[in-house]
Amino acid sequence: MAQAKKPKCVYIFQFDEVRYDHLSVYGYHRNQPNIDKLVKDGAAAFKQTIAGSSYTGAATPVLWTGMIGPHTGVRDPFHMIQPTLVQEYIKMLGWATQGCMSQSVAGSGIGMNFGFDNFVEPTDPKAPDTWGDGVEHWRHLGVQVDDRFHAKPVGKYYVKENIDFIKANKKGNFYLYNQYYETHTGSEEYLVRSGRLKKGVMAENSYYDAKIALADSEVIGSVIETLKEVGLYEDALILITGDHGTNLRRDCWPMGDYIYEPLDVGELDNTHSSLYDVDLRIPLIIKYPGMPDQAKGKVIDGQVRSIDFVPTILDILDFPKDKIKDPFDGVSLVPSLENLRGHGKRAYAETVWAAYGMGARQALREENWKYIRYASRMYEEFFDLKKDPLEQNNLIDRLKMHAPRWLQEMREQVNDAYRELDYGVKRREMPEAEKKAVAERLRRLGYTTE
Amino acid sequence: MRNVVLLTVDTLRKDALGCYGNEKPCSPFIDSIQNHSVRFSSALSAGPYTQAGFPGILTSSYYLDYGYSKDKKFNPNRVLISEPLHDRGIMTAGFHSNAYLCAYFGWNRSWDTFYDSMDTDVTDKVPYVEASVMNRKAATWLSAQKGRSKPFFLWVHYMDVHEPYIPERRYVDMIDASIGLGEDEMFGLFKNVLLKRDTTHKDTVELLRKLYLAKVRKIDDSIREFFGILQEAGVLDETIVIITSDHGDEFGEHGGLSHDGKMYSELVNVPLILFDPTLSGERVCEKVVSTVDVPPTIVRLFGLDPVSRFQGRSLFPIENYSVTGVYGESIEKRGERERGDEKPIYFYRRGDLKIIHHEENDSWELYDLRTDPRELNNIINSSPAAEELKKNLIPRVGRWRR
Repeated sequence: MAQAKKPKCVYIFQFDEVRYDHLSVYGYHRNQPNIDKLVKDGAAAFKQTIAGSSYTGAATPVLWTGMIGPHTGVRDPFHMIQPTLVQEYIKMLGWATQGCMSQSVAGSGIGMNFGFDNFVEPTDPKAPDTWGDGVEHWRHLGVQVDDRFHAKPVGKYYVKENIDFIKANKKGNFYLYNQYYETHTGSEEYLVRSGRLKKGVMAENSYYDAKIALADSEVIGSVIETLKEVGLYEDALILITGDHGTNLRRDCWPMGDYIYEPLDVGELDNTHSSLYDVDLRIPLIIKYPGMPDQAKGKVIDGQVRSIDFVPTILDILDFPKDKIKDPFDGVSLVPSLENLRGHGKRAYAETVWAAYGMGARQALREENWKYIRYASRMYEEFFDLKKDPLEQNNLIDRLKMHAPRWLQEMREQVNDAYRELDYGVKRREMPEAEKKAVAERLRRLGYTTE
Repeated sequence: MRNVVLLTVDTLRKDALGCYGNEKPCSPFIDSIQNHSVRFSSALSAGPYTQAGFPGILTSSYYLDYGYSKDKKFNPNRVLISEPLHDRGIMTAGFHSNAYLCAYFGWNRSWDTFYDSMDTDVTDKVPYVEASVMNRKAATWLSAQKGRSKPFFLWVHYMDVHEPYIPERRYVDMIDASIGLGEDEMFGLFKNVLLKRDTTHKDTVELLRKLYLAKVRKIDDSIREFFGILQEAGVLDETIVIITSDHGDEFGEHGGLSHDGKMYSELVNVPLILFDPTLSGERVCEKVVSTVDVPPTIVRLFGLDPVSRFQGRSLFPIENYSVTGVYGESIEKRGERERGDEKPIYFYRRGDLKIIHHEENDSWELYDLRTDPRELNNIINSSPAAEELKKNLIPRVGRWRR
């Protein structure tokens, strides 16, 4: 849908491991003044935004291609993103693009750099490693670790790169993307040691809220300030989100005395590896010129999905539809901003990299219910989210008894998605067409390949 | 700091150039800049066709270093020369028209400007964007660099020597005015002889060779034009130009045509010329060097720290370049069509000796290029050096599977 006033630039901020319910915009008791300021200035927030995966390397491509995991091609650290990324579309408009990636599992190794004029990522082997024993952690998952894989530049996020880029493009026409690792478990050690976080202040849950506050003040705050300085703040599309949530355990659930026990608490399953809501619900805060007045400053409680982001961004930019190469799995959220409701469409999430946590698992979610299948252990769950938002009471037996057809339909949907895993990555139209063009060029040079 | 230009000519045989001994007048311009150049008389490509050779020139790594994938995509762990340069604030631009090096395969990383011509229509007879267009694009880019304080790295790749060999009349006349073929007939030779790798008629093969040389003569004019563009942009005096190729071309020397997966001199020997306007007098370096040495040399010319993933070594200062021998590898494809089950082939050359290994049938070849420059007499069973040379190649064999 065309907007009367189009944004002149786009800024995306992607938290790592930040749950929606730890942001003050959703009612949390600790404030993030800069994000709150955005809402006060007319941003809207979606409360039930469902991630495509609980693993960063798989969830990030979902966010920026508008495709579910089986279609992004990335379900583990060893594959490249297949469909067109949002920054590649924006590049077609002739805009400048910069990506700042602080997490190498979602970096150039999987192709997140495609479409960025400038892409900075922690490939420097000397970058401090937040895991401490991070190398061992990944080795434990069967990963051959090299410098590119585990490097994360904690304590030196690309604030200067952000500011320089905005100032160099102060007339607008740019896309700036930040993936911010320093809210992830493990970053705190370095941040406290280096004095960037005060020892003992907001220290619970491994300084979780302190780390979020740092991101808000240092990165989001400095970008907003710079946008104001160059006069683009009112003309910017600003989108703040996260890759996935996390499980903070008994004493960490802020909105009640909730005890979360994952299916099987193994050593590696204690943070985000499940498909429960704690791991899947992410923040989505969006502000742009031309936002429907009724949405300004509102928190919209209706399910939307991370696959909807790219269609939404391109819709707001009035990107020519005939140039969109892949049919998105998601839809634009502009109508939801107009009628202040979710779109009622089903969400699909998966974390099928078997080494990561509990084996292959897939979930379907609508506003009132969730179905989870654990393919690696022949186990299914079904929850009534209205009555049981904490996903404690598995109703799968009742579903088998009373609604076998519904169950059958859901099984088929996850089967389809799983099958694409079995048969390898399903290549989308865009690479096919491009592949044809390349093959044709090579044929003419005398290299017949088919 | 000075600028660096890398000019690569697809499919350019070393011996097609006058400065490398061709008696036919195919390269008057390239020959004329030799008095400001260092010429490497024994430079070898890292592979005998584009996909196998270019990882050397642009990533200082070998074709099979990061495994072998049928889809030919650029492995993200390779370091493209544009990356370290871009990181250190050097402007980088690449202009080319070889589909194997296009963005689809991932060769567009970290360039400030990258043109792979895939958005441009081409024809069957000229299946690439021509050098004159590349030159215009480079000229436009250079003029936009005026007033910038940053040095630049510019890579321009010409496809014009590549088959089909359909040179313009005036270039045919410069090589052999008695050739009376029209365009359609030349295209017919491409389809009916070259694509079929048909070497039964010696005269036809010789005719193809002459048409090829006429294209070399044309590219020499294009390079002359390019130097004119550098001059006009006012940067010629502060720019080093490296000229090389990804591989040669075969005209029946070992029973084939074009460039398949073979490791003989007609395919892996390439020109390597470094033009430096501040030099005077012709300099020739006879050390055996490789195109994998090109990226480290460029990094060195910009005064940057060496890149640890680069496998080659800087060619400068040349007296520090220790001769340890050079490698090359590819898939042993035969003919225009890759069957898909071909196995790798490798070579190692040290001094005058070149050893070749075929993974397919675990066989070896060894040639002494001093006494047998045409590589016809396999001395693997008689040479006392054979065992020691094998030892150099064996660790590389099969590593693509790992």
